[in-house]
Amino acid sequence: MSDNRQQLAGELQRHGISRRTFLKFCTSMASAMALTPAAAAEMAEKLVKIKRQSVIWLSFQECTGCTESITRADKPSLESLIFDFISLDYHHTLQAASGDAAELAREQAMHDNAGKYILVVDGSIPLKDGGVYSTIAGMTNLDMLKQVAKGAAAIVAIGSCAAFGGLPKASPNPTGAVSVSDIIHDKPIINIPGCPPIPVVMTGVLAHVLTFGIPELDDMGRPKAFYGDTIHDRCYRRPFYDRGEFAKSFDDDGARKGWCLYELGCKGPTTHNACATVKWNNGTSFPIQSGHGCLGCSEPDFWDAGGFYKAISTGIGKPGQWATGALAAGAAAGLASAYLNKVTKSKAEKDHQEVTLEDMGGKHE
Amino acid sequence: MNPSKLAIEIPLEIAEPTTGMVQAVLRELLEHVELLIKSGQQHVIDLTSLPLNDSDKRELKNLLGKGEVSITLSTLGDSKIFETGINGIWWIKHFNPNEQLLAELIEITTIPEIIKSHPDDIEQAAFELKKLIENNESGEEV
Amino acid sequence: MNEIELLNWARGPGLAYATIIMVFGLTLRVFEILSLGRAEELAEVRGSGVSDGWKMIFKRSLPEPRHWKLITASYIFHVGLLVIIFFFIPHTQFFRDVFGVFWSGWPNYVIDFFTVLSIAAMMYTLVSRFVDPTRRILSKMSDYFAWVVTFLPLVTGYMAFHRLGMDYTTMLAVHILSVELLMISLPISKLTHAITFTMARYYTGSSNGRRGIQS
Repeated sequence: MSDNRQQLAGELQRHGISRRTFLKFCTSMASAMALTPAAAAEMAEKLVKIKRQSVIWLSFQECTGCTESITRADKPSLESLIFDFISLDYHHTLQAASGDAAELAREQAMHDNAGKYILVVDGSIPLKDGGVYSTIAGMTNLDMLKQVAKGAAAIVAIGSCAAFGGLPKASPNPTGAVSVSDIIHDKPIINIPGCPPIPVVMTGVLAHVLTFGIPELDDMGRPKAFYGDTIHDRCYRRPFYDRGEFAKSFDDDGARKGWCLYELGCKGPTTHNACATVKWNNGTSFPIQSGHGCLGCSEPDFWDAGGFYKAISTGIGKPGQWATGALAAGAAAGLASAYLNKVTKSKAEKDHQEVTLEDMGGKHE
Repeated sequence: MNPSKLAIEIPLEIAEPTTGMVQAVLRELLEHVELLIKSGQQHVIDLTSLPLNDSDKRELKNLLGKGEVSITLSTLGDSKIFETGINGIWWIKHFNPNEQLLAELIEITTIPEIIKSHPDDIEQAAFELKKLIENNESGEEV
Repeated sequence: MNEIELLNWARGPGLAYATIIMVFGLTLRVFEILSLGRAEELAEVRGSGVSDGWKMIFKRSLPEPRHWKLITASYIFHVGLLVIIFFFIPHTQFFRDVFGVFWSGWPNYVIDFFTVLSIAAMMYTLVSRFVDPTRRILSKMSDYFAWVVTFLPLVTGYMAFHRLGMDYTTMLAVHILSVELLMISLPISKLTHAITFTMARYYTGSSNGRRGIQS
């Protein structure tokens, strides 16, 4: 048997994946990303030939939801297979080593794979007060990101925090949180937003990066294969929206009939993600199907977009209050203006001089 | 007897009309079968990538029919594979453990790739059998 | 700035500034008009002028045979704007949020119908400004400006709902910004007539009435 083939057989056996499981994985991934079956075969071929891709995963100011979503610790799934094709050289939640040993492992991996490793980031990066609000082994997230990004081939910003700033960035942003692309400007960055992102989206993009390189991205750095459509574009409740049939409150008659959730604050029309087609929990359901409007969690600043239960057509903030304030100010200014007008008028009357015919050079008849 | 008491309600589901895509798919299948005959070249069609609605898929399945071979592949969810009534046309459905459909394909081939035992695995099999024989022998001796 | 940031700005600070300018400006203008008062009536008063004032408000809304085409077009887009603004379902959500009062919206196809009609009517009024020689001479920049700021929300709203033009998020932001432009223009252009038309008609009617003009 050739060395390559032995490597594959050995690799697969070592991780307890059968060849058929592996082929099923590649076929499903390719189909989900609308790649051809030929591409699926190519993906299978490539994924096993490559030396296990070195991946360094840095977790910054995050809730660990993204890691939970992709690993699904309680149930092995096709999505978690991706971990068998990468050498996860550093992940401070999942790795066995800890403390100095862990940091040493990271530095070793960076050195051995300089220029070739993939940097995965979840969590935002706080900048305020020198970045002290999130540190690992005494090093601020900001410094660690800059240091590790230097030798990375590409950066994958997983989750809305890493992609756009996420929850920590929500007003008033006490830690000065920013996204990865706010700091790194000289490396290709793929944003996989979502709070958390859908597991198969994370896996599919990683698989694509490992085999075909960086997928086609939209203007916010999101892979078009999964973020090209809005939830509204693919929502099964569209007929109700088009007919103007909206649920007015949770569990009312319309809600029970599965009507559109626009009036209950659904942000589907402005949210790009694959929830309506790929869904969650192995295709079980997604928020709208469960009767709750989309939060818009894969868009920037979704925490400050006016409230989860207020329709997109409402204002953010309190328009009624400003209007009342402006009315009072206008009235005050109006009274002031009226007073000034009166003053001008009475002054004009006072200054008014009677002009007679003689004054004008005329003669009495 | 009151007729309405006897009436049995048959729930009717009105199927959406077919799109006519099935004709195009059938022609594509013919093309690839002819290629298979001529040069032994296999082909895979991803059904989810085609604009087929549920009525289309039903029509296609009815037209192709079901053949003699039915296979279940069990790995992280079941995959259902069967040869259609037309030899060489295989229908594959990959499911996850929640029975959600992950991918649906048609393969024009003698047998789908995923079913075959791979030569590398068979070479591995030789080693495994040798080991089994050794262990079994030592077990017998005792 | 990406499209979501633009939309959030339009719905947030943009709306705040526009509301403040509009309400402040209109209130100030109304106070000024009322406080400036009228010139002293030096002639003998023939009638109180009060009932004539009220009558004039409604009389001026009646169609006049000489300009029936223009008046019809004008009616169409004025009524259309009222219907669209207050009865399109997403707009009812906006007003519920601002005023705390809710009324039912009308079906989308009705609103669509009024929108198309209003757009057509407005285009007619613009064309008539060019074609009719009298109106062309009388028209100034401020007239065209008022037309543009009224037309933009109609067109951008239609485009956003029907997913035409740019992506939805951007189109929606553009629509909301165009509405904010209209709001700011209200107190600083002839569009103030939305508030002052009743006052103006009353004044004309009552001063006519005091002079004994039959109406």
